Amino acid sequence: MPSPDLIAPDRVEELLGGAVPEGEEEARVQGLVRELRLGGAPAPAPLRARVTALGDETPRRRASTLRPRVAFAVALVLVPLALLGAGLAVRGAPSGGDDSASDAPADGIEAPASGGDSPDSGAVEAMPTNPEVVEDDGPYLRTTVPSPTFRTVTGGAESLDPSRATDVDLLVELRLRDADELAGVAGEAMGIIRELGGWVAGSDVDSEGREGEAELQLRVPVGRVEDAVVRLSELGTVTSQRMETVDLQSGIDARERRIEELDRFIRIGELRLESETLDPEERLRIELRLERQRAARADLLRANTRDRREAATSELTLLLHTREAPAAAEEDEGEAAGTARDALRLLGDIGIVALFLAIVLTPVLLLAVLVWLALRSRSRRLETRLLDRPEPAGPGPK
Amino acid sequence: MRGVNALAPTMPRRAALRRSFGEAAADHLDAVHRYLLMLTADPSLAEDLTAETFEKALKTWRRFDPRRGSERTWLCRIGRSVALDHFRAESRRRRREERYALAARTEEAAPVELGFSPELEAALRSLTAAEREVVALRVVLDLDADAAARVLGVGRTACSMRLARALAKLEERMEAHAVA
Repeated sequence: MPSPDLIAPDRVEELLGGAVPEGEEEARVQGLVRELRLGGAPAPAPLRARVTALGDETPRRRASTLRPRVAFAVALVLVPLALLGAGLAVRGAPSGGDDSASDAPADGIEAPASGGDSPDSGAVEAMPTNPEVVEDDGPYLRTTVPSPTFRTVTGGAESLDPSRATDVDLLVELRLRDADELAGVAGEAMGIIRELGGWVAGSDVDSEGREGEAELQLRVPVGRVEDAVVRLSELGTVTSQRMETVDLQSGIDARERRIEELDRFIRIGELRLESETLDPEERLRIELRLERQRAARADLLRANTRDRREAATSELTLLLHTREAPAAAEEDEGEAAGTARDALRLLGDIGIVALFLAIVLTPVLLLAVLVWLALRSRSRRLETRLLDRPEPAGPGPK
Repeated sequence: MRGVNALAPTMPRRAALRRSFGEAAADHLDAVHRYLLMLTADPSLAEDLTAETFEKALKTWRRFDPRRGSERTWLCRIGRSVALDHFRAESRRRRREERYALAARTEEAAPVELGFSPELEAALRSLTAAEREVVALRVVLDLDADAAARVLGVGRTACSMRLARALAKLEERMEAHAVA
């Protein structure tokens, strides 16, 4: 087929815009354009009626179902977000430095849950979320309560039942500015304890150079524990504290019952020895048994005395140090710095999850884009082939 | 004082610009029908496709945004999509029939009634659908180059080139017919 002479596309545009034709060919093209614009069959009446009827209908609001492409796009956004949320949930979003509670300054002490009814003096505030460890240690019931809270405490042993013998072990860790202050506070702490009727069971103070640490083993009368904790806490910044209580009363009660029982057996044995009917072998056997029972009774009495003495005083371990606790530093920096740190931590977490998603999803997205491009290209080719013949709906080229 | 907000009144809201579907359909029915008639060269098929186009347009009328193009352009794009879907389906059907050796007898093509002179209709019939399509959009419907390119899914230059070729071919066929 001969190639038709082509008028430049720009010139055709001008002719369509009504430019004066130059030459016969352009004049013919313009005439053609005019004829095409004037002609053209109007829509037949049945079709007009059909479309007009459509126009009378109120466009129905579509249900909220999303089209596949939109749904895909929404899924593309929501799935990474869901994964991001899941990742953060798994990693645990930062919440104001609770994870460093053990190093954070603590101004409070937890009460054992066994004595849950704390008075309103604010001395002991039991946190419902605090874990409490209760161990069955033979005849003793051991309760350990860590101190995740930093609120002011005025006593930990206040909730204890004074009628029961209880061994209370306390640990208080204080942060101090420097070694000089540490040495001074160590001495001051010992003074406080003596003033409260207690004594220093042991001490280890290392304050050479600028840094220093000390460990004081203090014994305080049970009734003065509250005062001791309050006064010692004022000496520095409390970075950690823990209270452990062991109920000694149950063991004492059991031993008392055993002693009473032994007393009865001993009395019976003594009465039998007083009788004259025993043969020498039997007498010897009873005497030996009485000896064992008296020894056991003495052991039980000693154990009870030891427990009562133990319960009369509480062991208070005071740890002093000059280390800069991370959480303490955070506290010192103020709320804005803490918030900034939280934000950075959150951004870091988001970055990690985003990187993970990028690594995992990039190949998938690339594949999806390639598939989309291939499908689009195929669709274009098919479209071109369909329209590249006079009758696209008719039979294709052989 | 004119500031950045002075542009705001020139950006009318979509709802404010949009007319009722009935008005738009009445205004553009002839144009869409002409476009589809020239694209398909089959009056009855063009009627069906035009009706289908307006049905589809009615369903998606809420999504029409006048700021992104005229109603006519939007309707022509829907019409083209409907027509291409039909052509694809028809092509598949014919392939199936050929595969099972049940090809229907090729009927004698009815003379195309496009509403032009017999010579022009004969010349138009000899063009490919793609060529007729660009003539319909640019000349018969008088869409500008950008709008026509948007309907065709090609660039502006490609659209102008396709039009120039189609007109040259049409003019050549007309001349040949006159000589004959």
